[in-house]
Formats: sequence, structure tokens, C-alpha cells
Amino acid sequence: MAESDERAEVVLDVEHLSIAYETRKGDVEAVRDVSFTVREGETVGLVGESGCGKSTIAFGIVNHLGPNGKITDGQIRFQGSALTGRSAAELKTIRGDRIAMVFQDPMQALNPSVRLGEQLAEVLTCHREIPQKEAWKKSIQMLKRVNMPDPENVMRRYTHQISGGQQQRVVIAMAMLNNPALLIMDEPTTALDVTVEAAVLDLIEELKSDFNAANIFITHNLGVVARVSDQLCVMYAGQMVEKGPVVDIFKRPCHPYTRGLMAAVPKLGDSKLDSMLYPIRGRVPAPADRPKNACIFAPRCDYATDRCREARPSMIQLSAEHAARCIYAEEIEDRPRTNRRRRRVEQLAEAKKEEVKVQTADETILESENLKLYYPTESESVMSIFGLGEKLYVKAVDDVSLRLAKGRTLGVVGESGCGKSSLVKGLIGLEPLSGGKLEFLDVEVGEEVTHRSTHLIKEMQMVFQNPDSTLNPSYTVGKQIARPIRRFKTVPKGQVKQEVVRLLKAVRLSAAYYDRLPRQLSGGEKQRVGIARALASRPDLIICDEPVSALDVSVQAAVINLLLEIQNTFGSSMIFIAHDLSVVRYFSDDIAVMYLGRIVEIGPAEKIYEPPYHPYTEALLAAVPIADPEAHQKEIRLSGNVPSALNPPKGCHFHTRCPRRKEMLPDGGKICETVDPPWRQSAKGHRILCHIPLEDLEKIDPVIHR
Amino acid sequence: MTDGESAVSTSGDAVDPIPDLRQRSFFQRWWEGFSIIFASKTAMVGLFLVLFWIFVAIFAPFLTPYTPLEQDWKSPNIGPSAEHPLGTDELGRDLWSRLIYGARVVLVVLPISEDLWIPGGTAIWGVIVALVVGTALGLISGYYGGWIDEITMRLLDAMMAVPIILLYLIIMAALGASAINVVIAMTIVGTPGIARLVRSLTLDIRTREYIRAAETRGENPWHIMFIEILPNARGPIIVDAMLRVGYAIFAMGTLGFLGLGIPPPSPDWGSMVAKGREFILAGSPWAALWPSVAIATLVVGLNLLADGLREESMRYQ
Repeated sequence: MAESDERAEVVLDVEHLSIAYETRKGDVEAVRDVSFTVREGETVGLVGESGCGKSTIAFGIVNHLGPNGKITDGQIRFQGSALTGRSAAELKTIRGDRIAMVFQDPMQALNPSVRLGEQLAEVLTCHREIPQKEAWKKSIQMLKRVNMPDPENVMRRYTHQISGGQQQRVVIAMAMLNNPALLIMDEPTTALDVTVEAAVLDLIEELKSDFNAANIFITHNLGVVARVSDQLCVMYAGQMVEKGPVVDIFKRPCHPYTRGLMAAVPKLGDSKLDSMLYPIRGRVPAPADRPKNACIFAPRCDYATDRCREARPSMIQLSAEHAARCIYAEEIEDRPRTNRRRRRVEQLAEAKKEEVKVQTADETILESENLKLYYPTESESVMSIFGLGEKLYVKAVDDVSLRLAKGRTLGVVGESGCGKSSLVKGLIGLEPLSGGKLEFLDVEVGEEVTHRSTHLIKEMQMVFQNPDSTLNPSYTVGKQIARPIRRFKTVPKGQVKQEVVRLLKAVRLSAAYYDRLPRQLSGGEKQRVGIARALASRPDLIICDEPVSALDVSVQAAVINLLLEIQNTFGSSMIFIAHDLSVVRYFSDDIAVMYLGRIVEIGPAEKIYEPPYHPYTEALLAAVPIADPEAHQKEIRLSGNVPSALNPPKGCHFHTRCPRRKEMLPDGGKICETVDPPWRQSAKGHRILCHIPLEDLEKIDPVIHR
Repeated sequence: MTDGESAVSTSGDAVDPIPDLRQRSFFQRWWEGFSIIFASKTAMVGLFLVLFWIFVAIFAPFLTPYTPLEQDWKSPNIGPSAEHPLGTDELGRDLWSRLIYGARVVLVVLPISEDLWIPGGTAIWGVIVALVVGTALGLISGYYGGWIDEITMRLLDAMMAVPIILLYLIIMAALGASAINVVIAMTIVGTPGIARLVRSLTLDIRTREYIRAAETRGENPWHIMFIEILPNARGPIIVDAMLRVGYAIFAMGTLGFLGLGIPPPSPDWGSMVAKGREFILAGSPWAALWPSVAIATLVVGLNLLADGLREESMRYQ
């Protein structure tokens, strides 16, 4: 290669790689004609939606395709020697210990019945024949290197005794022990909380410069890839549609798919009032249905013309390193999106604005005061076997007071285990409340759902997280939507079917879906049916429990737009739970930040995302991966884990991890350890639960500078 | 709200094009489900064996000129011949006709009294009743949990602790020998296992979000258990039931052999073996052989069918 003189050595060179899986119906091509190179000390990000062949490439490189997978074409060269077309034994000697892989779920990568130290040391004793003692020492050094607190102690522990973030650190340490030339990471942070994810990404960045390994980073998250990658390969339906330096691609995406992906995710700080999400229509085609001699993205592309369907476009070089597989790549910026789409989207935004103006009447729909939801557990004493032991309580929701006005949306954010879902269960009556007052439509509803009157049940419905389990697989879509209609008698008996069809149309599905079974639908379609089912009783309040977090980004945008549209049309209030802060910000009018069962900050969305912040909110915002490699973000990392809700810290629940109290409070913040913090009123409706005075909190810089 | 009426709509999520999935009639769908049997050789062999026995049981009167009770004093204990294809027993009764009439009791008719019978064989009814009781108990204890679960399951565990054959003997000795009592015994013996299976399935299914959706609609527990949960547990239950029919036939044979099954002179495979056994050493093994072969082929057939079905349905997941 021409530029190789000035650049680092090429470690991995993938050329025209095609991979197919054998099935009963013949070979199915999962990856087609993919080429890229990875250099020393460089991270190449592979992004794309699920089913686009990202992981298949990784498995192809390490020859782990399974019994029915095979490389049908192309070359993989690792440090100059070809990996394709060799036997497993030959591969083993070529690769040796030079390629390491990190997977999504650390729980599955670590052996639960072997101490971590033995697992780490084994890597060295097995590959390098290093004596046990030395291997042990080296493992401890490596654990120190990955910022593991108290590494000697960790070596003696089992997998379940350390947290998820620490587990992933151990897996990374294990991968780095042999000083690999190539490190492949397959969604290494997807299973982690946002604060933990940020710390692991920091570590990956650090290691890159220290070890000078070549990295392949696979993810679906544009924000994550913007943070860690140097080069970017965008995958779609088994083909590479765009590749280039990460800054170039984010600045000037040239393939309609890349552009679509970027328009589909809200940027942190975007709100439904001032920006729109543009979903990509349709879905990723199944490998068997992919067009062979046409642009693979044409069916979903807004710019597609007949030319696109005539031949498969080749990679068009836009600059030395930036290339895209689109015949219009060079002029794509000047080809505006179809007008119709823009206008319609703008209409939605306008309608929303008008609606906000109308909504000055501040009618309360739901109000809770000191709501408590405790789960009893037995202590581990012998007495408790006989039911005599001391009763302990997991304080899932502790003293939560909130108010939701009619037609508004309340977003609830927080790490996993902070009580978001428990709060919702308490509100809707799936779990008995342990204390506090809850009023819905001016009626006190302290009791469980089975004891509530049908009238109240009907007014509060829910949209669930997991598209695969939100619908009963045994019944057709029509029957499932008809059930709440029949139960709450929203329409006369004879009109149930018309009503179902009307609801299907409201969620942008045609009447033909009436007789479909859930397994015939895609994830996004299932989620829409779930929304239609929640709408069927015409509720005043819809609770959305992470409705988009299990969906691909392009589909996510469509579902969010749909929910907004429904809110416009039906004027329903919503409670929106999500762990993605950009999505919550985008969707909500008000936001409550929860930590360990308590609300630590609550107020209008725009107020939450600018100072004064609660220190926890600040840390959350600093951890959000931003899909812009040039954005500046403060680096605040929380240490430790969320403490157990069984025994929450005294005083302020957050004091064990608070990065602010030592510097901003007299006496190193001793007060936080003993005294419950007071509510501090900042602006109208914006409250912060913190010992630090408001004036000081206001002085904090905003987390993100653009 | 249709596309035309609504002022706001985003074309990006406009009505998706419908993949080519034409609506099929109920029969076609049923046939599609059924056709997975043809994909498995194991299941096909099993199906063939089972269908053979069902066929001969239904058409028994047309397949033999003799009734099962007709005695031919001149030729007792003879081997297969032109007149008697499988031979005769010690009283000169035709073994073929006794065999296929015996299959009737197992698979096709349940004699309630001398001249009253209902369709569905003894083994089938035994499994069906056990299935109904076991499924109900399993659903209830799995869905409600807590002390209801604790009490039900401990009681069923206690029943499972008694060896099965002993349990059969106790029940049959207490109730007396009759087809109905065989069904009752099978129910008592079969219920705990089915309840355990259904309970474990329920425990899994009740955590799904569609159950939560039903709960937020305030559905009553019976609706949730029988309408929302049960249909999703049917796959494993059907496979288990098929295996259980096999065990039930086996149990009927055992009871008949011990003289506790359907009372003589009804043609019962178990009692035929028991009677025929006495003449094996006398040089005529036929009376014992044929019913043994019958039990074996039917049980093996059902097991193969269930296994093949399970394997094939797993492969599709």
C-alpha cells in the first residue's frame, strides 16, 4: 500500500470476505464482499443494526463460525499470513495467542466455578508455559492495569462476587495478558449501565495507547463508536456501505444508510419541540431476500432511483480513506430528502408546539406523596427458615413524591436497580404499596389492580419493553387488541373489529395485520401492536417501560414518533422510562432522576440537562456516549457500584459515590453520611435533593460543550 | 384516524409493506403443524405403529370373523393357521380377534358398565383426566405461588414418593377391578407428574410481559391462567401426554397381568399375557407372545412419535 510508509503496520487485512451459513434451504450469505484493514494502535469500529453481519465477520476472523458457517470467498491476512483455507491446527500456530476476543456478556465469558485468579493465570501458563507463580504475579499486574481496585483480593474471588463492570474488566485483562496483536471486542459495553460503560470505554482507550494493539470494536451504538474508534465501517445487511475515518464520517456521512442512522437517534439535549427524528422505513431484509444485483439499501432509501436497482454499486472513493457504496455518494448532500417527508415531520413538530400552548391548564392526573414500595426478604439466619427471623426490606421505592399534569410526559431515568420499574409497578398496582399516598384522576388508588374499579384500570395502561414477550404468541394480533376493547366495552359489540382496524391504522399498520400471529412480525411491528393494545381502552395515562430500548435505532425513531403522534392526537399523559438519557430528554416534558429508590432531582426536562445539577445527574450526563467525535464532554466517572437497596447508605443515598461532596462541602461532606439531604428548589418545579447549596451547584460548568 | 384524516403523520413509519404471507385457512395451518411429523423419520415410524393399532381397533369387527369370546373347543392352544392367523388360546379363542378387541379397550372405547361405553380408550381417558386435573393444579400453584403452591406441591410430592406400581396396586385393590377404576388409578398416578411439568412452564410464562399486560387490564386470574398461559404451554404438554399414553398402556398391561385390570373375560392384553404365560413351557408360547408384542409396539410407537415430535419442534425454534 502506498501510504503504509507513514502509517503504522497493518495487522489485519480483510479482502472481499464473504461468509455463508448452510441451511436446509441452501446456503445463505450473511456477509458479502467486505474489505477493511486494521493497523497497529488503531481501533476500527463496525456499526450497524442487528442482523447486519457484524459479529459474523468477527467470528470469521477467529474461525469460530460454527459447524454450518463457512468462508465462501475472499482473504483474511493476519500479520502477513493468510488465515483462510487452512486447517484448524495450522490456524492455531499462526494465530497462537495473538488474537483475543471480548464478548458482550462477561458472565458467560468467565467460568463461574473457577476463581478469577486461576482463570487469568491459566491464560499465561497455557499459552506461554510460564510457571504458575509468575503467571499469578503478572495477572495481578494486569488487573492493576485495568484499574481494578484491590487486585490481590479479586484474584481469589469467584465471578459472581464482583460487579458486571468489574467482570468486563477481568475479561479485558484476560484478553490483554498475552499482549495480543489484535483485539476483537463484540459489543463489550452493551450489557452495562451507562456510568459503568463510560469507565470501561475510558479503559479501552487507555489500553489502546499503552499496548499498541489493533482493535476491532463492534457495536450498534453510534455514540460509543464515536468515542473509541479511529476508523469506522458501517455495515448494512452483510455488506459494507461506508468506511472511513470516524471524524469524516460523522462530519460528512455519504451513504443514505449512515445518514439515516444518524438522523434516527436524538442527540443529547435535543427535544421534541425543536428537532425531529427521521426513522428509516422498513426493516433489514433477511439474508435470503437480499437483492443480488441492486443496491441492497434501495428498498429503504429516500434517495433511491431506478439506477439504484439496476446494478450493485461499487465503493466510491470520496477521499483518500473515505468511501461509500452509493452511486450518489458524492452529491448526496445536495440531494435533499424527499419534501413530503420533511413537511410531514415538520407538521408533527408544529402540532406539538400548539398543543403545548393549549396546555396551560394545569390539571393534575397523577400525584404521589411519599410513596413507598418495599419487598420483604428473609435474613440469612437459621431462625428465618422457620419464619421467625428478622424481616428485612428491599426499599425499591422510598419516599417518592411526584406530580404529573394532564397531557404531559414525565421521564424517569436512572441506572438499573434504581427503582424505576418498581415505581411503575406500584403506580399501576401490580405490587402492593408499603406506604404513602397515590392519587389518580383525583381518586385515591392505594390498592392493587385487582381491587381497583374497572373505570380506573381502563385509564392507566402500559407499553412494555421486550417486543418478543409483549404479545401472547398463541393469539392473532386482532384478538389481542380486541381483548381490552371487549373487556372495557369501549365500543358496542358489533364494532369491535372496526375499532381494532382503526387502532392498527393509528399505529401505522394495515388491516392485513389483523390475522397475523406475533411470530410473523418484526420487533418494531410487535411494539406497535403493543402500543395499539394499550391504546385500546383509550387511557388517560400511558406508562411506557423502556419501549424502545430493545429496538434497533432506525425502528426506535419510528416508535418514538408514533408515541408522540399518539400523544398529540389523543392528548394522553405519559410516564416514560428509559435508561438512554438522550431519548428521555427528547421525549419528556418533565424528568425525574432516580437513585436507589429515591428521586434525587425532578423538574422540567430542559432544566435537568443544564446546571444546577444534582451530582448524580451530572455524572449520568457525563457518561452518555455522544454520537459526535468532536463534542467535548466533562469526564466524571462514578466509582464503585450502586449499593444494595437492602441496606442503603445512611444520610444521602448517593454519598458513597458522590464525586462532588468532598470538594464542595465543608468538612469533606461529613454531613452527607449522616443527615438526609434537604430538597432545594431551583426554579419553578425544579427540585434537587442535595446538601450542596444551590448557589454552588449553579456554578458548575455544563457537562457538554459543543 | 386514517392516513387521510390525520394532519400529522410521518412517512418514515407509514404502513409497512406486507411481506408475502397469504392468510391460510384453519385446516391449512393445522396441516402445516401436522406436517412436521413427516420431517422426522422417527416420528413417521411411531405414527405408523400407532395408526396401525388405532385402525385395527376401530375396524375390529370387520377384520375377524370371530368374536373375542367365541370358544373353539376342538383347537385350543394351537399356533398360527389359516383359520386362526395368530393361533388360539387355552380355551380355543382366536388370538387375533382377542388382540384387536383388546386394542379397542385400550384406544377406542371405555366400557363403563355391561352395555354402556363411551368413545376414547381406557388409556386415553386415563391420560386426559390426569391431564385436566394435573394442568389445573399446576397452573394454580405456578401462578399463585406462595403457600398455595407450597401445599399443593408438597401433597403431590408425597404421592410421587410412593412407588408407582405400589400406588396402582393399592388403588385398584381398594376400588376393585373395572375399566373406570383403571382410569381413576391412572389419574391419581399421573397427576403429580403433569402438575409439576405445567407448574414449571407456568412459572416461566407468567414472567412474560403479555401476562403483565393482562394483569394491568385487571383480568381475573382464571382468564390469565387458562386463556393467556395455558395455550403457550401446550407444546410440551402434548409431547408429555403422548409419552403418558404409552406409560398408561404399559400400566394397563401390568394391572391386567396382576389380575387387577379390566375383569375377564374381556380381552385385556395384560391378562392375556398372564393366562398365556402358563402355557409357554407347555409348548404354545403364542397366547403370551402376541399381546406382549402388541403392548411393546404400541408403547414404542407412541414414544417414537413423541420423541420425533419434540425433536422436530425444537429444531424449528
